[in-house]
Amino acid sequence: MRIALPEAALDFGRVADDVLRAAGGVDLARAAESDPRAAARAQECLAGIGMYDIDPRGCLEDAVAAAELCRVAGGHAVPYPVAAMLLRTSDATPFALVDARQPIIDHALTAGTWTAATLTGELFEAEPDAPVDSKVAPFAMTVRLRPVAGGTASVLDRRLGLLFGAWHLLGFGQRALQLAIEHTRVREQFGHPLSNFQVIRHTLADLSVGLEGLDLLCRFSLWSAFTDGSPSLADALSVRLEAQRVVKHTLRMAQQFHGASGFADEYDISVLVRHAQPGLRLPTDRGATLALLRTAIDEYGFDGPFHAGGVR
Amino acid sequence: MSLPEPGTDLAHEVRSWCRSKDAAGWRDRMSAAAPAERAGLQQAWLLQLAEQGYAVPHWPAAWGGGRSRADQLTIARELIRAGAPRLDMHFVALYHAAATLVTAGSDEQRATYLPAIRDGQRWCQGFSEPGAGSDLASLRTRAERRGDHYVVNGHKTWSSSAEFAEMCLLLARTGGQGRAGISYFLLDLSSPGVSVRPIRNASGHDEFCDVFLTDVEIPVTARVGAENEGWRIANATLGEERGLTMLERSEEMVAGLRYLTLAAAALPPEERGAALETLGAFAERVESFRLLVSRVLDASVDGTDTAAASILKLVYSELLQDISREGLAMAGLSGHEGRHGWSGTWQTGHWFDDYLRSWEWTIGGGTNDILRNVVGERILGLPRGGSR
Repeated sequence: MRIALPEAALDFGRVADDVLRAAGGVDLARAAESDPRAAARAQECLAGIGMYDIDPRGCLEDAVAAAELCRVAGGHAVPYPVAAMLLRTSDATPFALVDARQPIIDHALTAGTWTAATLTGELFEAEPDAPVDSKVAPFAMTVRLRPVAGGTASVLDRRLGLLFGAWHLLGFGQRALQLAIEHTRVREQFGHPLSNFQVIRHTLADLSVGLEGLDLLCRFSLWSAFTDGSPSLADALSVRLEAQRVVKHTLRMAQQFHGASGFADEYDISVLVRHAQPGLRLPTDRGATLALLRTAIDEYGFDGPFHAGGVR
Repeated sequence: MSLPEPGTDLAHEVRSWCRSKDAAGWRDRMSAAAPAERAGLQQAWLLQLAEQGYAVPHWPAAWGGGRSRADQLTIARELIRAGAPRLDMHFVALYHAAATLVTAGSDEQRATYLPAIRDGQRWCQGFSEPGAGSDLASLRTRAERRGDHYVVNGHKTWSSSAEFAEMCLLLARTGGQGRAGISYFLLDLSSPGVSVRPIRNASGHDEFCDVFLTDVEIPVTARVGAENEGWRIANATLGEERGLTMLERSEEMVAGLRYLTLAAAALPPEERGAALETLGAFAERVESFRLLVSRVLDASVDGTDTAAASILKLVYSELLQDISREGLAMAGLSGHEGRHGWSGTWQTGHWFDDYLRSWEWTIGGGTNDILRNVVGERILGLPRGGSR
């Protein structure tokens, strides 16, 4: 198990962060709901730093760089399907995990044709059909699925799909915590900054511990995706489950600490909360993730980070 | 404490009236409408209710109310059961403004505004400011007395539905710092110098607004109570928002459970068991909340015990968030989709909206953090400031 990220990947993340910030950061997401050019600007930034040169399936080093890019993109709610494009199956065909009974893809209009896979490995060609018509998932669309005859999505693809999703959510959570800390340091009520109130300090501390744990799990599972030859998705599903729990709670509390401002789109936290929703629920909401994790553990057992005496 | 029995004459009367008016149809039309159109529909529905005596059962008899608590509950319950639309754009007018007028307004103010409210006049609240949210007493909007009027300058915010409101309950500083320097005004939003700007919120709606006030003139006769008495009046009437309205909300919870039951029934058999356990736990919490509402309202005959009413909002907001979350979970990925008003869900016709909007409830009308302080200090008798 390796916990420290390679310096090259960290550098890449820092460059991506700088470039996205210079392009407007969360303002890109804010603009994208009414102006498709914002997504194009995001794409240009990502292309400019070499996103399309990464081969996340090729080796762990590239996968870490890809994951780091997903995390940074989450922190700016970048209005572009970064993980799906990193896992593209041809130049212009992004890859997404879907629930075949209710196939929905976020930012589906990015491509006319997608490769879609279920978590059990069924493979499809997908075409955007109709917007889901939800104000809280402005870019999500239902898609039409056509089975790929004899095709199966590899375990690595499915693991990376889940893990990049978790890294993406981690970025949302880390940014939300950062915004909550900044806001509670400067916002004064009753003559004190909000961060002077113990209930707020304690909660912020708990949130940071939760995110730290999620960060480590994300790292471990990405490493194990390349080092563990088992067909089990248990590691990746458990990370998704934890990301859903921790990040939802972090967003919720960060918004609470912003008070009513947390619901005003002029504040970044409001936009982050809205744009995080599809990632929290697609392709599996918490209930579905848990059900799949149970099945995976039944079938293959679950060692997690602690190989000695794992559950079987 | 007593809860009325179902099946009373009044219940039958309201139920059959709702059927004749196709209450559920109104709800659907309203859910699908654009905000401006929705304002018109709500007003029309309010007028129909008023004609029947169902609009303001909680008001004093002299102003068209005077119903017993049991009758109020029956009316609220039957309207909700019939799927009647919620009058959220009239919420401040029917409860908060009316309570302010009844308890602290002049005869002239009552005679001017209570009938107007019953006829559909919309009000908003001008309390919070960018720098004064939880710490409302630090508000800075200033009202200077000049002869027979005040000149008001300042910036109010988070004012729900202000874009469509005609009147505003306004708190402004007429004296020194703190609670003792605040006065309470009834502001006509068509006055020169008022500008209202909707704020786009996290769930993608433009419900709450900024209200900017630049040299706005308010006649002295539009002040409620004495100068610098505003804090006391506001505190007394806020109980209305947290008390009486919870009667209606608690019945709405029952409707929420019904929608959850429908969602559970639609689940595949292997998932239904766990969903039923969740439903059972919610049924207990909803019932306990209903009893709590009755107890708090019975204990404070005029519904203005703000400390006790704080508990109701605490319980309601957190229960609402839990129920909405489960509704969304049960809806699965279809919770992402939905034509507003069509998907048979609870408050907005869209589980996702219900879920994100429920997050606002631990903030608006006093954050739950502040309400917990109120419970600690005013009910449990803990020392002030112990929260720090």
